[in-house]
Parts: sequence; structure tokens; C-alpha cells
Amino acid sequence: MPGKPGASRVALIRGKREQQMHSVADLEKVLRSMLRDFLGDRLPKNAEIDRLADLDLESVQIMEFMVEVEDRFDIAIDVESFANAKSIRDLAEVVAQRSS
Amino acid sequence: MDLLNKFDDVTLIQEQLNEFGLDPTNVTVDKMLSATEAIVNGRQVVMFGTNNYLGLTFDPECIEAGQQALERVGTGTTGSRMANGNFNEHRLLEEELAEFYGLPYGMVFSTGYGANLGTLTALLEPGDCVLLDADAHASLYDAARLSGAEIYRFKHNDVDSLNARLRRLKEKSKRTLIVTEGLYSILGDTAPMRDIVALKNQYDAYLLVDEAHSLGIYGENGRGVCDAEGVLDEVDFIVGTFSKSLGTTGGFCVSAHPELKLFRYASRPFIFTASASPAVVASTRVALRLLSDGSDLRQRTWRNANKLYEGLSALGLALGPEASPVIAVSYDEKKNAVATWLALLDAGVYTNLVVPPASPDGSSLLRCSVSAAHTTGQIDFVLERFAELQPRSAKGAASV
Repeated sequence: MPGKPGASRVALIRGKREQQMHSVADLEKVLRSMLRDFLGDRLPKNAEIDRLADLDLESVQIMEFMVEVEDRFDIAIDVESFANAKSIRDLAEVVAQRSS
Repeated sequence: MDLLNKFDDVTLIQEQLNEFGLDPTNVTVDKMLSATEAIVNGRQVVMFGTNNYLGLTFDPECIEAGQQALERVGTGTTGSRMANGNFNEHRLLEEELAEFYGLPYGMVFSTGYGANLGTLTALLEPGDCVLLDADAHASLYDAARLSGAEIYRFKHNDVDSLNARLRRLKEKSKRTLIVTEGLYSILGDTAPMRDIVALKNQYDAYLLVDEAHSLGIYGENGRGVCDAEGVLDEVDFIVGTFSKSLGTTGGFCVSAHPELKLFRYASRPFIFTASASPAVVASTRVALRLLSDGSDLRQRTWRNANKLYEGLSALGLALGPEASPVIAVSYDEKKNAVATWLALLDAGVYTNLVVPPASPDGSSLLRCSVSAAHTTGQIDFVLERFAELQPRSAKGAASV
């Protein structure tokens, strides 16, 4: 969904190294928002959304969300890298790395 | 947390299944009566969930060939194809399979699962990429993982999604194997094979197609969806199984690439397992001959498939996108699918219950598979049973 506020800031990560830290933080915000939208009322009550490993997502949901993230940032993320991301922060770092 | 604690979750799943009154994953077939009828849990049922698409499991010629091989060659090979288990009959079956597909090379494995494991692990290594359709069978995913290649998924049957991923892989696309199925085993939909082949060519990638459920059903000679779509000669590797249309067990890979001949030195799942038993190989060879000689089996399967699809559709049930020998009825809620599955079994019809996480789209399904051996009366019987259960039924029911 291009045009959302986060997307333009994410574009900053392409290029200067010093912007990476801010960019990962920006990516975290975008990814958190994407995951909230994706899960909707399927988000478990009292769940800490940043801790992906604790969300107990079914494999179909993980796959669908992964494809959504790839398409949003126009990158390719392999299944193992996605599965190894235990938090939104980890995932943001994967996205940042693949976008560079 | 000790080693066995992980089974606490499994116990919970088992308890939930038992709450249905009958564990759908643990139904015992007491006795097969024919290719389409059995005694299940003490009562006679019509089998509509067997993958026995051509109904060959009780074919007299296939049985006789197996019996003769048992007496002539013995009960088993007691060894790997790399050692003492490489019988002349295995080589003949490989040649006959290659000939059936009009391709130069064929390789036989002891199971369909083993064929996928053996083929993908020989083909791929760390540093290579595999692009898997999201609904591809677990054996293909397991095989890709075992190979150590990077695994990427694309949306099921979505050519744009595949295109985007090939583009993003850039120069790595040349080291990429695209993996799809011909006919998908749960929803019964076919892959857009011509578009997929065009993308494979555009990006210089490779393509492997699993025709496990489409062998014997699609194409003029039953060679599968790739043949039916006219792209068989552009697919790099075809894999499949003997355990559906051919009515036995085992798997295969055929290809125009001479490297397939080298797989037997590089494929650990091929090397470190016992070869298929002589009776299985003998029955499979006859089943393949029956298929290649041409018969009306395929036409009978399609006649039955179309009749069941149209009949269920007329009942207003939510079905997959196209008629095929795999027909899935989709339910809004798991409990409705389970209740209908139990009621059908009680009324004398066996189908496959597919619920999350096993279903491809997270929905709950009753999967029916149609055989050439089903009679018109049996198709009518299952339609009548579905009609009786209609009030507790599926997604589309309310709109009819």
C-alpha cells in the first residue's frame, strides 16, 4: 500500500549508512502497523505485538504476512530469515538489509 | 522443559480430535471390498477420498503381475539401488516412464515423498534458490529445506507474485528452481502452466512440476497438466507418484536433462533407502502400460468428476474454482465441516476432512476424490447424502 506515511520514510534507508538506525526504527513502526492491520481481531488479547515468536501465528498466517511484507517493500525475503525474526525489530533489520 | 514436553501440545490436539467422537486422522479401513467400497468402523461405505483416480487397485492384470513377481523375485529387495537392490525391473520401469513422457531420462524412487526429497536435494544446494507455490505439498517444502537452498514462496497460482520474486532475485534467478504442482491436491485447481513456463524462460530459471495428482488424468495420454497445456518439453523436471492413478506406491522423476542420470550418485534420499519391492514395481509397470495403451479410464474419471462437481454445485455448496477429480466443499466453520464429515460417514460416504492448519487457505474442507471405478449410482448416492445434510452446510448454501 504505497502512499502510507511510513513508506516514504522507509525510502530513506536506501543510501547513506548513517541513516540506517533511524530507518530501522521507521521500519519497525511500519511493520507493527502492517501486522496490526493483518491480524485485526485475530491478534491475541494481551499479546505483545513486538514479540513475533509469542504470537503463536499459524504457518498460513506467517506465510501470508511474509508475502505482504515482501510486496510492500519490493524485496525478496527467504523463509528462514523470516522465521528467524523473533521480534518486529529483527524483522525490520531483515527488511533494511534486503532493501539496501 | 524436557525432551518430551513438546508432546503436551500434541496431546491437546489429539484430545480435541477425540471430542468429535471419532478422530478423523485415525480412521481404520477394516477391509477394502473393491476400488470404491470398504468396511470402515464396522459399516460399509462408498470411498470418495482415496486418490484412486483410475480405480486400478483391484485391476486383475495389475494384481496378477504383482503376484507373479512375488513368487519369481521375492518379497523385497533388501537393499538400496546403489547396492544389491538395483533390479532389472527398476531399470525397465524407468525406461518405460521416460518413454511414456517422450523424454530421455527417468528415475524411480520408493515413495512419492522420497521422489521429491531425492530430486530437490540432488538439484539444489546452499546458495541456490527455490521459489515454491504457497500451496505446494509438504514434501516439496521439506525437500527444499533439506537441500539447504534459500526458500521463497509466491502466492498460490499467482503469476504476478512469481514474476515479482524472480525480478527481485536478480542474477540469482539463474540459480533458481520454480516448484509448482500440476493439479493441487486439496482444492483441485490447476496451475497456469503456460504463464509459469514463460516466466521461467524470461528469467532463465528452472522449473519442476509435481504431477502427483494429475498423472493419468490430464492430457491426451494422461501425462499430466504440462502436457495438456502443451509445455511438457519446456519443463525441466517432472516428478510424480505411483500411489494415486497407478494404484501402487513409489515415485519418479523424468527429464530431458542428462544430469538426471547423475542424481543416483548425488541424491541421499535415493541412496540411503531400500528400493521398491518387486511386486510393487511389477504392478506399477502394468498400470503404466494400461494408461499408455489408451483406455476409457480417463474419460470415466472425468465423466464422474463433472457429474459430482455439477451436482454439488447445484446444491449451492462452495466448491473449488474448476471441476477436476479433486472436489473440495468449503465450510465457514470448522465445526460444520466436522459435523458433516461425521454425518456422511455415518450415512455411508467416506470423504477427507481437511481443517487448519492442514488446509491451504485456513478454511475447513471436505475433500472428495473421484475414481473411474465409481458408478453413476455411487455418484448419485453421495449427492443425495450431501443434499440431506444441506441445512448444516457450507459457504454457498445460504444464497440458494
